[in-house]
Amino acid sequence: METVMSYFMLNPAFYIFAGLAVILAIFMITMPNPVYSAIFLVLTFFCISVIYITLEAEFIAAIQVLVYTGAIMVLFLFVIMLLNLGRDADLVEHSGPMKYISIIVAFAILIQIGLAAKVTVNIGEKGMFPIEKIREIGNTEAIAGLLFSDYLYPFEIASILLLLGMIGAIIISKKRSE
Amino acid sequence: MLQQEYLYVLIFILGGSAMVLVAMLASWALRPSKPSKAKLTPYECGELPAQADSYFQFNIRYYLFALLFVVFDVEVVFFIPLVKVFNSIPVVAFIEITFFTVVLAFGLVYAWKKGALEWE
Amino acid sequence: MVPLSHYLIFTAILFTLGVIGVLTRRNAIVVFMSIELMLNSVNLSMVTFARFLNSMDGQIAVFLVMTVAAAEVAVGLALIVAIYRKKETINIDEMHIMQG
Repeated sequence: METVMSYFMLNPAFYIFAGLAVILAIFMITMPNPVYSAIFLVLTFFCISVIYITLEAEFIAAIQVLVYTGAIMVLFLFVIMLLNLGRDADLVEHSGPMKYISIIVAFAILIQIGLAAKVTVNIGEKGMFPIEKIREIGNTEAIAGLLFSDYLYPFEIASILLLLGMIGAIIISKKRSE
Repeated sequence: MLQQEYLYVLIFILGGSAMVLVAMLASWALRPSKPSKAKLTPYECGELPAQADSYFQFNIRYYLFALLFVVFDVEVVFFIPLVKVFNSIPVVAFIEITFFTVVLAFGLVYAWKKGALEWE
Repeated sequence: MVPLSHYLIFTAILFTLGVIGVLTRRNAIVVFMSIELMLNSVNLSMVTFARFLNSMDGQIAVFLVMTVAAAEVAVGLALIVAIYRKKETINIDEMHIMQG
C-alpha cells in the first residue's frame, strides 16, 4: 500500500488519466450505438494526449488533439451519419463461444506484452536528446530540426501518401454517384 | 518541473466547467417550472420544427469535404514545426517543402477537376 | 518519474482492449475505431521509449504514423461507404466475398 501511494505521488496525472483512458476505452468497445463509441474514443484520445504531456512530448500531444480528435474522429462521425447508422444499433453481434474465445485470445496477448514489459531492464543504448537538452531548445524545435534534416525523405513520402489517400478516397466514393 | 505549468490548464478547465454548472444549477433552482407545449418544442427559425428525428442520412458530398479537410489539416500540422525553424533551414529543405506543398496542391486541383467541390 | 514498465503495461492494456474490440464487434466502423485505438497505444509506447532512451526519433516516427493514419482513415472509410452502398450493411460477417 505504501509503494502504491508512493508511485501515485510520483506523477498523479499519469495514473489518473491512464485509468480514465482504460475505462473510456472499455465503454468505447461495449457501446452498441456507434455514435457513443465514437464519442468515447474522442475522450480516450484526449486522455492519451495528457499522457503525452506527462512524457514531455508537447508537440505530439498537440497534434494528437488536432489530428485524431479534431480531424479523424470528425470523419468517423460523418460516416456514421452518412450511412445513417445512429439508430442501427441492433446490428447482430457475436454471441456464445466465439466471443469468449476471442476475449481469452486477447488476454493471452496482454499477458505476453506484460511479460515483455517486465523484462525490459536494459532497453538499449541512449540517444542524443536527453530531456534537459529538449527542454532547452524546445520540443517543437527539436522535432523540426530533425524533420528538416535527417527525415526529409519520410517527409516527402508523407506528402505523396496524403495525395494518394486523397485521390483514392475521391475515386472510391465518387464512383457510382453519377 | 515543467508539468506544474499544466496545472494552470487544469484549473482553467475546472473553473470553466464550474461556471457553466453553477449558472445552470442557479437557473434551475430559481426559475418557475411551468412547461407548455409551445415551450417544449425545439426552437428553430421556421414555424414548425423541420425534422423531428435527429438521425437522417447525409449527402455523400459532405464526406468529400470532410476528407479534404482532414488531408489539409495534416498538411498544416506539418507546417507548424516549419515556422519554428524557418530562418535556419538549409536551401535543400526549402526546396523539399515547396515540393511538399505543390504535391498537395495537385491533390486539390485533382479534386476540383473531378467535381468534388461542386455543389449541384 | 513514473517507471517505464507502468507506461508499457498501460499501452498493453489499451492494445488488448483494441484487440477485444476487433474480435468481438461486428460493426465495421467500431472495428475500425478499435484499430485506431491499437495504433494509438503503439504510438504511445514509441513516445515512451523515445523519452526513456533520450531520443527524438520516436516522436518523429509518431508524427509520420499520424499522417499515415489520416490517409488510412480517409481510404478505409471511403471503402466502408462503398461497401454500404453495394450491400446495404456494414456487418463484417457479410463481407466475405472479394468480388464486388
